Amino acid sequence: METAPMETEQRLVKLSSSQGDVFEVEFGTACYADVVKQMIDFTSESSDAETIPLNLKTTVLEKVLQYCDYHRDNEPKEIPKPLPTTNLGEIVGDWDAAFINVDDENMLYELILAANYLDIKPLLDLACAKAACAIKHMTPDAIREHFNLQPEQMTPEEEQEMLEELKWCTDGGAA
Amino acid sequence: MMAEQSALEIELEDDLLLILLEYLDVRALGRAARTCRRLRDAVTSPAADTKVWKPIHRRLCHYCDPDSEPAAPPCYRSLVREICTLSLTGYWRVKGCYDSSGAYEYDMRLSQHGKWVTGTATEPWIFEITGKLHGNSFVTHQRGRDRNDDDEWTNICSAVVAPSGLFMKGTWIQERDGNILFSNDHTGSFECRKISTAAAAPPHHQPLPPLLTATPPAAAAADDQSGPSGDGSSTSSSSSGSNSSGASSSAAVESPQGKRRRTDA
Repeated sequence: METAPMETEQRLVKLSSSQGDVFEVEFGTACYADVVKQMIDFTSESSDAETIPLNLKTTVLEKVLQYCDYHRDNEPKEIPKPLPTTNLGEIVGDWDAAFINVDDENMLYELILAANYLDIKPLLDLACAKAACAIKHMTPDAIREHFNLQPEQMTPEEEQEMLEELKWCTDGGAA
Repeated sequence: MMAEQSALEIELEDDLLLILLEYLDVRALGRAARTCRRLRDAVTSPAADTKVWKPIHRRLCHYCDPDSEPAAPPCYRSLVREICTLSLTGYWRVKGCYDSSGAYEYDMRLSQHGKWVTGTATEPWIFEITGKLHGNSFVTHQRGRDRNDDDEWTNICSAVVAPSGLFMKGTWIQERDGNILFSNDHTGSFECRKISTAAAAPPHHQPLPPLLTATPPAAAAADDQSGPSGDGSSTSSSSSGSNSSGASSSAAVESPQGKRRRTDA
């Protein structure tokens, strides 16, 4: 983690959501996201009290900050690809599994976008892995329903062609 | 961007979608690709080839010789396809030797169901074979017994299957009464060549058809040794049927095929 001097360690940073809510967090937590650290470095010369605006909803920012606060002192675990199991707890540990077990599917995808925006690679991996878990055992029809996709996005010919092309993936085999 | 569309559709850009796909296995990728054009394109894109398919290929494919791994293959997806469509079903000629010395040879019949494999051999030992194919790694357990006495043992074998699906090579170690025998007399190595791709009937309760041999057709017919049928294409209902019918004409036709396959292999 950051080996910052005592004064910066206890320094508080203000981050605001796109809805105007301001979060006051420890410097170390905010700096877990490299992008935020750069923003702080950039603005700190002008004023300590300046608030850093982030283009994230309040609920999403709150969630991201939870993650940063926990993982600034706990190295996240690497997630193997492809996933050996859909029981994420076995892979990433209880805290991360509970953290990413969000009720709202949209929140999960918001977190993917937020992690990408703030360049928090382990959070991006965790959220993508969670999304992958959700669709791993689904049939094509279930995936369509889950994501509300329209099958008519493909012509019957295209669909047939794709069935042929990908038949081997879905059959039983040595994989 | 329509509100009723899915988060996945409207939110994730290609590079993020790809990160999600990296966590899926082969079958899940296949299912995802069948849902819509967007996902199909993502799964089959050149970027997915290196980010998604290459790691899968690395995990599934084992090379006897690491140097033989292609440096820059044309398409990892097609390589994965090659491995995922491997089938061990058919008749195999096993040639092996003990680490101490001494060579042996026998034919076995394997039948693959998904990743699980069962099989039998009857000469010179009686084997009941069960195993698993992971990628192109094959691990198997052969419960063996002598034809002449009640001596029983188990061979634990591990082999790597060539991408052609026609050859495998590996080692074995023997276990008796729950103990692995640490001795060169009870370990060894082997190579197997597929001599027929005929789909085998369920391996248990079925006598093994006579072995393919290099005997001339006339002699084979005289001995009523019709080889298992099937030529490249799998699923032949006559694989064990030709045995019971024992028609000399079929033997005369099939033996040369058997010889050709042997020299091919």
